[in-house]
Amino acid sequence: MDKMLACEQPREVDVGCIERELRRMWMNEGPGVVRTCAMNLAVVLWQRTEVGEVEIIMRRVADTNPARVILITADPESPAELRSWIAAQCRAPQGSGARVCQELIRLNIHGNQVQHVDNVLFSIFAPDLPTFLWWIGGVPDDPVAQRALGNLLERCDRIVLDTLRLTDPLLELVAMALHVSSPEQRAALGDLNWHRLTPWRQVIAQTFDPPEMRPALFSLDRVEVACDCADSPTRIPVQVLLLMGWLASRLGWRSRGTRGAAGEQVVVDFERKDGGAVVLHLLCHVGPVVHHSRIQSVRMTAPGTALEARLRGETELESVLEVDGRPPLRRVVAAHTMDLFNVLQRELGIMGRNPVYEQALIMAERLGTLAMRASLV
Amino acid sequence: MDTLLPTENPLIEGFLIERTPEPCTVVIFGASGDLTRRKLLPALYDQFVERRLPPGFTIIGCARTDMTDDSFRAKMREEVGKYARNVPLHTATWESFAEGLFYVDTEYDDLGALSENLRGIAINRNQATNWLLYMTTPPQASLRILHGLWTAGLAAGRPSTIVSPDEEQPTRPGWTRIVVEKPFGRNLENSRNLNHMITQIFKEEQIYRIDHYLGKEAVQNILVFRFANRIFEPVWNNRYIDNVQITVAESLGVEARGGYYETSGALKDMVQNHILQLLALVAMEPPASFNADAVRDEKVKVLRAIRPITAQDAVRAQYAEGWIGGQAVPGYRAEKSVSPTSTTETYVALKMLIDDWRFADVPFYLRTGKRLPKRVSEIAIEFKRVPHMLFKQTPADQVEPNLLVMRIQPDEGISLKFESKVPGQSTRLRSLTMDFHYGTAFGVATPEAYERLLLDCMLGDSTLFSRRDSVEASWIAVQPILDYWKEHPVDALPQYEAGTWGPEEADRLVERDGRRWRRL
Repeated sequence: MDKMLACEQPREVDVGCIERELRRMWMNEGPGVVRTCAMNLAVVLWQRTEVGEVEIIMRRVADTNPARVILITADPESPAELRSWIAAQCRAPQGSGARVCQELIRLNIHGNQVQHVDNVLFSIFAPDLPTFLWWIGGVPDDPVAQRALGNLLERCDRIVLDTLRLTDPLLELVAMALHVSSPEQRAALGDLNWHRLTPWRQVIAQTFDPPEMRPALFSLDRVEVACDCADSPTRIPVQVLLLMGWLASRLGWRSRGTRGAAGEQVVVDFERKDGGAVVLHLLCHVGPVVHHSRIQSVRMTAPGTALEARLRGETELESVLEVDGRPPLRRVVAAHTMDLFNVLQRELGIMGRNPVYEQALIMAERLGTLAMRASLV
Repeated sequence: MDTLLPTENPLIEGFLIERTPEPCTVVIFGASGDLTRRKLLPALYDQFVERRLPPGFTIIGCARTDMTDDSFRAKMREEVGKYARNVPLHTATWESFAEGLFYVDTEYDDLGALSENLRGIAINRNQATNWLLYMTTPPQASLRILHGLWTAGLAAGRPSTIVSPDEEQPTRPGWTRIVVEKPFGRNLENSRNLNHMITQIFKEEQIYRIDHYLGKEAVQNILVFRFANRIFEPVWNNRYIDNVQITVAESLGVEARGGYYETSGALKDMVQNHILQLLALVAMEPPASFNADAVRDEKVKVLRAIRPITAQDAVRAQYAEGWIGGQAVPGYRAEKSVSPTSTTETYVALKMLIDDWRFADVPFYLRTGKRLPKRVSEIAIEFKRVPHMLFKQTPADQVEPNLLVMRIQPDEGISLKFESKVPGQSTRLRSLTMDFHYGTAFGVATPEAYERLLLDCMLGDSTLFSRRDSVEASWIAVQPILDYWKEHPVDALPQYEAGTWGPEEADRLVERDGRRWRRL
């Protein structure tokens, strides 16, 4: 294993002197150390405790996304504290004699100091680079956090949330839908949960891509989505709402209301563009948690056609397409992009707004409201 | 009541990174060969794992080797396990991929069995009659395959499934595309004949002449670097550029390819295709748009503007025995399947001039060879020196010119050399280099060129493939040298010791212009 450089050891520095100390850190290293930085990547853990897990992921992410990584824990309910540490993270790419390093900044901002979180961040963003903000903790209802997040939205290019982890899904979906609906918002909204859906969306989209499958796509009459709701049997996971929001928004379906819940099932009626009916069945499994708040299987039918896709373990998605008069077409594809590291990697590859996601989100929020009327959200 | 359905698939929109081709079957001719096992199958498997291939995607390997579907699958599993990026293989994913893997043992001029297989697959597997025919075979076998395709009725079809209003009703709904590996002929005349034969059977839009160099990330980045950064355009011309050096050096010898190399040589094997494509990318004008024909139109203009090369501007040589990486290696004439009196060149250096406004009088020095000290491919753009030296402590002729280097392999990236003041009381200058490495900046392994190129074929995007006029223009550029060498045969070529940077004649080619080869 390579010997660790001195700059890789975290060093506590005064918050007001972070830039100066970073410059000093690089000056103290020899010519064989190369500093790289292609973006600002700020992570805010607002009243969250999983800093260790997040730091491990950020170190992995930083290996493939040269960035100034800023990790902030902010908790207004802890005793007042404002401390910072700097370090470098280095690696030795194969075939390169140099150590390639990037900056890691860790900040603890607690108590009444949290009202300055946006100012602190503004002062340490590297200039003229794309800025990603991964906000862990959902859309805040705390006014201090709301103000800080609002200010950061003005300065960041992209804010990344994870709707898998919302604490009050419907309320937060409403806030997110409002955000994407507003033409003034500078920051694009990213959602890690959306990327977890990518394998599902791809399998569905690819199945209906051959021209001869197009009639079946436009005459879908039933969609069944099974998901794991074990942690809260009366709550439909946002991932399901997003998938249905995506289908409905892409295919121009209009929701007609719910027919009420029966046991672990909720039924939503849609009207297709051609006036035909589509029935959505959401099945919440309340057995042991297999994949927390995630889709387990999707079945879609149109006259003479059925597509069923289901998770196989953590890393594979199996689909079977049945069309009358043809042998079933089965395939297994990788679904490993569903883990947190991979979805974050994918998110960091995107700049700008994603209208497909935004439309799906708006529709998901409507579906969520409908489902709430059936008392399932 | 019939309802008009939209022709587009609304679900496919928004996949920002991936594009998915229509369901299709890839037929690989020469499936028992090296290219299939080391490059094509691993590339296709990696695309499958990353969900870039459509449902029902199918591969049929064709060769004259006796194999069954199962033995072909078993062999390919072993090879893909060695050469794919996504390893170790996941059993269920591999099995799903292998369900679409078939083998047809066939003579190339009788493709009846293949025809039956294709139609069976369309019925039983993917419902698709989109066929990508990939010829990994030598030119002679490729001609037999073309004949076989024609007689088996497999050459019908169109470039894409989009039918123009004036087009005749197709005989079958799918598309057919054919991929042709280099060499695209042995000389200008032969290339024209080969192109003529292919275009008797396929339309130009159906033909994908593959030059894997164009699939490399660093090569694709040349266009991005030039045309997505405004600061370089004002200096990208003969007012500021002194010379351009393109080097494609290999440390390997001919290995097991002696028989092929004897019929080829460095000029045909490297310059006519890879190096001239690099030259065209460096010298082309900005295309009006980034579509296949616009890019290729500009490239072909450059190739046509190359001034006919004279014998004085070409150096050829052959490697003699020497040392590479501490190992003794034989000379070319002692290699397997090589004639002991061979005069095939393993090294070539050329000076080329482009007769257009942008690059008039800027020499392009090209060199390529086998058994050179290391494997390196790069384009070095040397700028003119400053016209007047302000800093008297350093004579102007001791100030290094600015140098922009685009490294193609193995360490893909870009570097820019410039002068800087050495800290201190006096004004002393020193050259520094700003360096960009793909591996460092993006931290991810660049995908194999074949992954991109295969996907582009399936998507019908021919931007990174050579068009007929481009291939022929490349042959026209090198043909005067081939003719001269043919008319002036020699008993032996100049030799260079294996593990050195080529013959002295190559140094003189550059030094007579007051320049030097870049030290690599």
